[in-house]
Amino acid sequence: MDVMQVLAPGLSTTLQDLGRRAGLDSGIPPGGAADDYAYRLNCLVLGNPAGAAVVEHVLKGGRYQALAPVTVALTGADMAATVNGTNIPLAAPVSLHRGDLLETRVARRGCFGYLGVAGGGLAGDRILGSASTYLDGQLGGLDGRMLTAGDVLRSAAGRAALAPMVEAPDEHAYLCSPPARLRFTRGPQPEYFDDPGYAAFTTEPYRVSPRSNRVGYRIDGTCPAVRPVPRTKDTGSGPTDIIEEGNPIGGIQIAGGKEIICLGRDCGTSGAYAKIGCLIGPDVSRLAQLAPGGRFRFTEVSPGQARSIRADYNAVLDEVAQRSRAGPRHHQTFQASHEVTAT
Amino acid sequence: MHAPAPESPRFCWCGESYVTISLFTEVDIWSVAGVLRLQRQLAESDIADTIIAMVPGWTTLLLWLDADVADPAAVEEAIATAASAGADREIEFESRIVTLPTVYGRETGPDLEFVAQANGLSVDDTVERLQATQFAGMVSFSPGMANCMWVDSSRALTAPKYDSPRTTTPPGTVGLGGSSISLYSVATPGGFQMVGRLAAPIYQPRPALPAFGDSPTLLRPGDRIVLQAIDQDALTVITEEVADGTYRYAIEPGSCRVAAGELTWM
Repeated sequence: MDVMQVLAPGLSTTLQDLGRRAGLDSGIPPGGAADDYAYRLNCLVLGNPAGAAVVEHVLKGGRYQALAPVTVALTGADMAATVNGTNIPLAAPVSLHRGDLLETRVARRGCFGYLGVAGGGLAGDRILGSASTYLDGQLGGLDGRMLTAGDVLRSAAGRAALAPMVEAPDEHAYLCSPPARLRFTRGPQPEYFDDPGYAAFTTEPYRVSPRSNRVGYRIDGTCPAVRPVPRTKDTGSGPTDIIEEGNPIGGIQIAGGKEIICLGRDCGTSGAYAKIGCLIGPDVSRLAQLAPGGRFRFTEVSPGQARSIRADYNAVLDEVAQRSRAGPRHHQTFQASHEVTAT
Repeated sequence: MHAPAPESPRFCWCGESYVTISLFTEVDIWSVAGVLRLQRQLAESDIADTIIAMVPGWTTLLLWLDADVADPAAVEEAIATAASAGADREIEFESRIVTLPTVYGRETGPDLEFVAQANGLSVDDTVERLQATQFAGMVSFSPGMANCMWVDSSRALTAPKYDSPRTTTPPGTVGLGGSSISLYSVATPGGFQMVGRLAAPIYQPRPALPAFGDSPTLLRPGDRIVLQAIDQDALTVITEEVADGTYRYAIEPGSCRVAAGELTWM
């Protein structure tokens, strides 16, 4: 069923979901929502199964007209959303009538915003079990590309059983609020950095560069000093060149011995630069919500701490899921004004 | 051919979901076979159902785990067990033989003559060496991009990379850099010498040709690849068959057995 027409698409707006579990050994990155937690919260709010495709906005939202009665929800970045000019809340189901105008704007908090529709999410090209758009590979989503004005979004009905809708508590709307500290585990190439290097890396202030995207987040700030490691026939000649190996999402590469790049969900599946560390899973999502220029520091944690932090984040989502199961008293669908103020 | 003494593997957790396992310090066909052997062992181990994906590197294996279910102690034990048993155990991994028709030289392989000169060979002899069987150790970086080495290292060619990388490389380009062959699948920057171009795609974002099945990529780590020289007439025929969806790739099943100091190709 056609549910919405794109009137204005935003900047780099794509369909995303949980991403792909297959293809990583053949050069296809996992992809999926840059802020995995905001995405999963969106699915919970609408009673959609995890894996439902949503619209992902980056920095700037878009304008949409409902082509049929449809319930939507917005999570992640706060893009000052309105329906027919009336403000609507984040992380709550909102009913649209046919003809209603949904508008999301420049993010006033966060960076990646999600627009989901109830009833199983949006339809997209499902490749290797996911409709996530991988722009560099022109794969998935809508013909592997960004949304454009005139596109019609269809619902992917009939995929899975739906849960009741639920409004998330306010404190959960910003689950991955832009962070002051990003947590990483050390390695896998710690030999390229010495203790003073790690000490500097965990005390210096850093900023997200405007030259960041779903492939990688470039980080401005003092690059940690690189220790000379003997070059071999198999490493390149650069100071942080290593033998090419598989890339973990969140890996913190030191490119050319001088540039810090955190690997995003659409990164090349292999790389040949030393990694000083790897962000823990929840902080890959939190980094995504730092807009260009956003300031933060790096903090080292152990793999055990990383697992425990992950469990804390999962517990928050579990709590929302429990509210959903507890019944309809938590579901107050927001009704927007029916008066259309623009077309 | 004999394996180098096994080096003790080390592993590193990367966040809570990934483990990088380093097996060797030098790249050769043994390091690649050793990585694929470890991948096969872990796929058959007790932790197999907590593994989302594994990415073989030249000397490393990246594990992507489902951190919500994986038991970290069991993961570490499985790695240690597999690595220590690896040296003695006989393991087979899949190694298909994939023939990819290739147009060498001309405007799509402008660096062929430079490569011939760099290796002190005629262009014909260079093309013959380029057709010797390649081993795809990694299918990585770009979707479906195969990174290969010669199965018979005595046939290998060598060429320096571009001083300043190209801003783009046409999809299907066969590139040589160092003693590695890369098959470019999508337009990306690149620094390898361009010696030819594949006649049929190795990546289809929407899989259409029968050989792709459900996967947008054609090649897999462990494949043996023959870059068979074709002429312009053959290219025309293949191009038409690709366009109408009837092209049949020549793919034969095969495997590689790794056992006590021997690699056996079957």
